Amino acid sequence: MQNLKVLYVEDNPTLLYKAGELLKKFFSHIDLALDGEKGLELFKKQHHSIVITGINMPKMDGLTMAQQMQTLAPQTKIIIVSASTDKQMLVKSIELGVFRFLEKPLNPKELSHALNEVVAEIKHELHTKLFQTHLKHIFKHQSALIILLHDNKIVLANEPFLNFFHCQSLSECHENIVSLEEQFLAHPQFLYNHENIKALDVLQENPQKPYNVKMKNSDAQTLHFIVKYQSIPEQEHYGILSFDDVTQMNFLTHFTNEHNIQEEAITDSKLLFEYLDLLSRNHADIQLYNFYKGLSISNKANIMQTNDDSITITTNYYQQKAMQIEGNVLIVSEALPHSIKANTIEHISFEQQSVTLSSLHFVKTSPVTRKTIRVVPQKEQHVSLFIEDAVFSEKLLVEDISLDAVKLKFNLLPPGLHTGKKVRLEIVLEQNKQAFTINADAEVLRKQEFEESFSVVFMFQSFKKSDLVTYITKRQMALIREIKGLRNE
Amino acid sequence: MNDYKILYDNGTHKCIMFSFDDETHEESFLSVNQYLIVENDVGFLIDPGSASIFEELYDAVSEHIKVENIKYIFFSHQDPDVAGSIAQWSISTKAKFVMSSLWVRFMSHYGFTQMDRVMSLPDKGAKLKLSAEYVHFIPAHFLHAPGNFSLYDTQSKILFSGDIGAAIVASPQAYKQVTNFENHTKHLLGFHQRYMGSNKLCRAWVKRVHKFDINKIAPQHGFVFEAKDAALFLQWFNELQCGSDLIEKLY
Repeated sequence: MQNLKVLYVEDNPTLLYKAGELLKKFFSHIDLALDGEKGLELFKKQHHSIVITGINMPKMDGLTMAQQMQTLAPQTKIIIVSASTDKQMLVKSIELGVFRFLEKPLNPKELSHALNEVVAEIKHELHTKLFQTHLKHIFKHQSALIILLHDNKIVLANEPFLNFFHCQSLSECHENIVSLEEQFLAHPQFLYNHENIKALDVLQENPQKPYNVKMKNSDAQTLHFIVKYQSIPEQEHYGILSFDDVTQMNFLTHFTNEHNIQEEAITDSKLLFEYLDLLSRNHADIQLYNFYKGLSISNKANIMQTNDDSITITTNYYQQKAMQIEGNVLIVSEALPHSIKANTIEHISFEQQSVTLSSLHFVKTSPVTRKTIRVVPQKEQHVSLFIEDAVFSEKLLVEDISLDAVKLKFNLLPPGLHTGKKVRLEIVLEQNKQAFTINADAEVLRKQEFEESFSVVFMFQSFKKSDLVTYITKRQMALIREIKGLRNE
Repeated sequence: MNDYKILYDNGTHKCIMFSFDDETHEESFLSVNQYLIVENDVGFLIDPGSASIFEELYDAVSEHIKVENIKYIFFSHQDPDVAGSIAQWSISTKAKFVMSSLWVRFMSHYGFTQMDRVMSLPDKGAKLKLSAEYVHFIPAHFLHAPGNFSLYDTQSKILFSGDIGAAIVASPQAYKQVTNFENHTKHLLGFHQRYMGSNKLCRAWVKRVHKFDINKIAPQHGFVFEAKDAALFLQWFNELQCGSDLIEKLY
């Protein structure tokens, strides 16, 4: 609290100087005045948090000055220093709400003690103010556990938080909870301290983003929470953590390390909508994904409304167009155990920037695991496949291509094209009437069989990538233009 | 000028300066700097520039770090000489793109559509941990772009200032460092008077950056300011009359 401003008013210049020297050890901003009038004048300019004053002074006495200061700024903390213990004066001091009364001659120990107390009181008032101002913006739920942090230390906690850890007071809380983030238990896809992950750092670096955490209460029950950090404007070291208990939803088992989860495992759509409703109440961002001719189009969205079997979201025009063209969309949030696919676009309002989605269900694949940018080329293309230096003469088609791999469509599959087989590819692609040639060694990654064709993915081994970067960039730009061109259809 | 200069290196944390210009526009005499921070195996690329220099910069960066280890690419603002290669970098890396929230929606004009890879910066700024140390994104709005950030690297104490401190000069030397600040102001003045918003904004930025211990100021164009010259530049910029201060002259 070095940054608090302090005013000392005393008509004895020697005492004033000495007190000033002492105060400099505690505070960086000290003002001194020899009478009440000067003191009040300084106070009006500097709005000191703490005023220490004598009583009998020329021009204006200390109590009159204090009274005027209290009228201007009732939160000001006033400490009276006086040799007199006149009863009337004491009564007036109490009426004024003076913080402490110290007897002259001033004992430095007593002053230092009073200052510590007054600073603690100011801190507490600040914490309470921050807490109350920001509390109502975070959760409507009274049941949420909410704490105010200052430099990662809990400085205020609401009743549900104290009850959860079975603490009667904040100081008991400090004794019981040595490190808050250590309370977050390990669970797949959840937030907890491990390897290089420091849970509180992650929360603070991603304000407003919901995370799943698991904690044990004082009765050794494991509960599942959605936790979110909110920073406080202009108060760099402060933040609020809120924990929303979602244990009742019984979703813990759905968070696994397995990407190929059992889709059938989550058929309870009521739970899915409850989860979406929870995200909506938390004003959590969700991420939308569409794939137009291989091009990933992804933007943020907010859930505006959840109904029994549909949700209404808001997002930008570009994503709306992509949804309109594709007729579906993938919804991703770190707070969700899996991606959700909406198979029906019920309604799009470009004016409101809103989209109503239905036929929602969890899906196995996550677009987040897709690491590279793939594009579907134009029809103008030519592919030559060399196996053991012999060219495969059938017509081949590039289904999509990225910097790492190409997927080719075969009507007939040549013999010997097994997984891991090394081949050479010569691909000529055209974009904006410009031809791009890719000569690369490649290896078969996987094969897929369809009714009348086969798809084979080849991983590129070694080749000069710059031409392909240029091609993909140009193709990507052309696809963006295509989407924008579909505007009036 | 196709060279690089190590601005800082303590063995685990390194700052590298590149100066790739668009050679097709050499007559415009605007030298452009790109920067790379490498901390352990985390790469952080700063203002990688236009599509025309992508290939050269890609090769140069690969000399210092595996491209797949570039975790973040930061754009101080939206100009083509800063962010024009976003599509190329998005194809070639798995990096996240850090920029002002104001410019995210404009990135599709550069052929970029994966907004899930964008970390959009709030107006008041933010900080980010590389592997051990933090970088701070310091608001520098309207200096010159309305959504604009400087970057402060806590380990090297270098302030990457974007267009602030930019000098309109050709790029003849291997390493471009200010040696005589007084003399250098003639390269600074015209650009800053016309590109920067107002003295009020300059002062707000200087006040902000004064909170940090600065060893070097590394702008996106022109010369690097080292210790004393960095302080002189901040003084000069604090007093600069520019933009709306010169409204009578402009209209």
